[in-house]
Amino acid sequence: MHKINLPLGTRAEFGERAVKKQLLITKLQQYLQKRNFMKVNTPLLEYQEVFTNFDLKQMRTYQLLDKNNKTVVLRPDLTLPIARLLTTTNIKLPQKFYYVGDLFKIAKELSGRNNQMTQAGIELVGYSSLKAELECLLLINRISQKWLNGQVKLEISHAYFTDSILDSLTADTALKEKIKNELYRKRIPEYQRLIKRFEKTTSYVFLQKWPRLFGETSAIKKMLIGIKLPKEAAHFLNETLAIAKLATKLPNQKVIVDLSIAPPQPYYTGITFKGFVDEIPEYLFSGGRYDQLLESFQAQPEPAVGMGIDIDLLAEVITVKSTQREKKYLFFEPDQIKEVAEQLLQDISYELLLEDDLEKAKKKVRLENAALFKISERGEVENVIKNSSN
Amino acid sequence: MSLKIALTKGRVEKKVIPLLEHAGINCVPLKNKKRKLIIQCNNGEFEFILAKGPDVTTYLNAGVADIGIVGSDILEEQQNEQYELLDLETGKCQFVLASTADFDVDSPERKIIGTKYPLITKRYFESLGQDVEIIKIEGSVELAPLIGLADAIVDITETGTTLKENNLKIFDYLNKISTHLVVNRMSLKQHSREIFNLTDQLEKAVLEEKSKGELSTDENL
Repeated sequence: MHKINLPLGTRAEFGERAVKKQLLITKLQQYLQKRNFMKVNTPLLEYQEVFTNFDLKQMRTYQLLDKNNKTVVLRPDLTLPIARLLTTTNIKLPQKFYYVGDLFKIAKELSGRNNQMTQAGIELVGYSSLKAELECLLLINRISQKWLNGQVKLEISHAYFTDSILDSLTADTALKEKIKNELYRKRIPEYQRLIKRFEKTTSYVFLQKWPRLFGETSAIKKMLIGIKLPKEAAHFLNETLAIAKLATKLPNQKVIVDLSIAPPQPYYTGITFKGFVDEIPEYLFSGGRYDQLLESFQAQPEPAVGMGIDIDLLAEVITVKSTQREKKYLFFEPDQIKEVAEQLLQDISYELLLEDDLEKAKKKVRLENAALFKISERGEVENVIKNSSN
Repeated sequence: MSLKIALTKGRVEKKVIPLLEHAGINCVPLKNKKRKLIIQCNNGEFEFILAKGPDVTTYLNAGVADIGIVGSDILEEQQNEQYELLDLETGKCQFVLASTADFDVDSPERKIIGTKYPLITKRYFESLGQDVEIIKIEGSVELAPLIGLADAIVDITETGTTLKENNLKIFDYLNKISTHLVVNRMSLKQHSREIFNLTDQLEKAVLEEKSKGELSTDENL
């Protein structure tokens, strides 16, 4: 018999894994709903233009043609569709949004990675205050405390820090791009070759240290002793350090600063942040400020901060206490359907037995050491087998 | 907690062991490994995983190894996404374009090129403004032009001896290759002190070996 397998890079979810993920999503949604965030669902399909202004090379997409031969894609990102939504509707701002949904990126074949991922996130649109960043950090901290034993480390950066340094160094755009690329990829041999030309300048000491400029605030400050940064860069550094300092006030929160990392997405314009747990090789949280994004959709620029949560990874690593309840089965005859409905209204914890005869049902229940109830001829619930652990 | 290092077995492994020893790692267990593929050194401070080159990058991308020691040829072909912290300046060789003496690189027809490195080959011919047909070959690449499978090959050579013995001529020199130390992005965040310590020790070792001239046997073309 010919069985049809899944396409590469996809997987089905079932059983314990699916339950855990669903539970996580439910809890997260309840929490955000209580905090008065507005739920947004955008479609899986969007026109390609929604994403084209941003580096699509990094995210190979599934593409198809609609009826008018326009290219539509399965969304590879969840923030851009929300920005698109805000420019095409009259939703009043400022507003706090949240979303949970799937996105699609084509990973290298046979690399073991999934092409369909579930992400949750919040977008705080219309807020220029630093408090918007703090609201995101508060959410990360809460998830960390609640599900990850407070193990999440926050990493704070600034999307413009690198450019502010490079702009003060040279006007050669191609060279700036090259240095930035090698710095972000930490291809140190190539990076060192590129910065060699600045050996005689005062910036050289900083340039040498730059790829290692991450760690706790105190370590960063120590590395920067005696180094005078260009005015703009110093400003971005202070902004980053200030947020980092505030973040350390969160309960049980470890914080590092990274001045040598690429922003998580090309649309970020200010503070960016990520969250990770030791021994897990991916980031769980990532976000930042993107004040210019709406402008790129021909709307007024609108200050905004957002962040995404990798739900698949989080579901894999969290410890959720499952409330193991006693299993109890209910046996019934087809014509007792009315009584079953009445019973379930009172108590939803019955698992209905679909076996044809009672003997078969008893066998199954005994094997599982569960309790068995049946509907009697008088229409009442009668205990046939007591749970053996009682 | 030990640092997991995926080390390319074979030639790379042999050339890197002296550097590791120089950097303060007791490599006796690594030398006496017999058929074992996972070897602990320095009382478990380091755990070496012996793997084939292309798999080293797979391990790093999946985050099951913190550090990889692998040839830059593989990093380039596999479009490495992890951090390349150090050039170990060993295992030096070079990509070349080679064929039989009658090959003409400027001839107008669409050429057939045999190689283990399709991506590097494609990029090279793109830089020449040529579209070529590439045939992926897994081993003994030198055979391809001799038996008429391809017009020329793009392959790695250390001394050029194998090419010469098979009557193949070098038509062009492409990128230089050496063994690199690569680090998983998250691992560098999680174990930065340990990883930078090792990198610094190895960098010192590379410089010292270089000044001793011990690498002169590793001659380039």
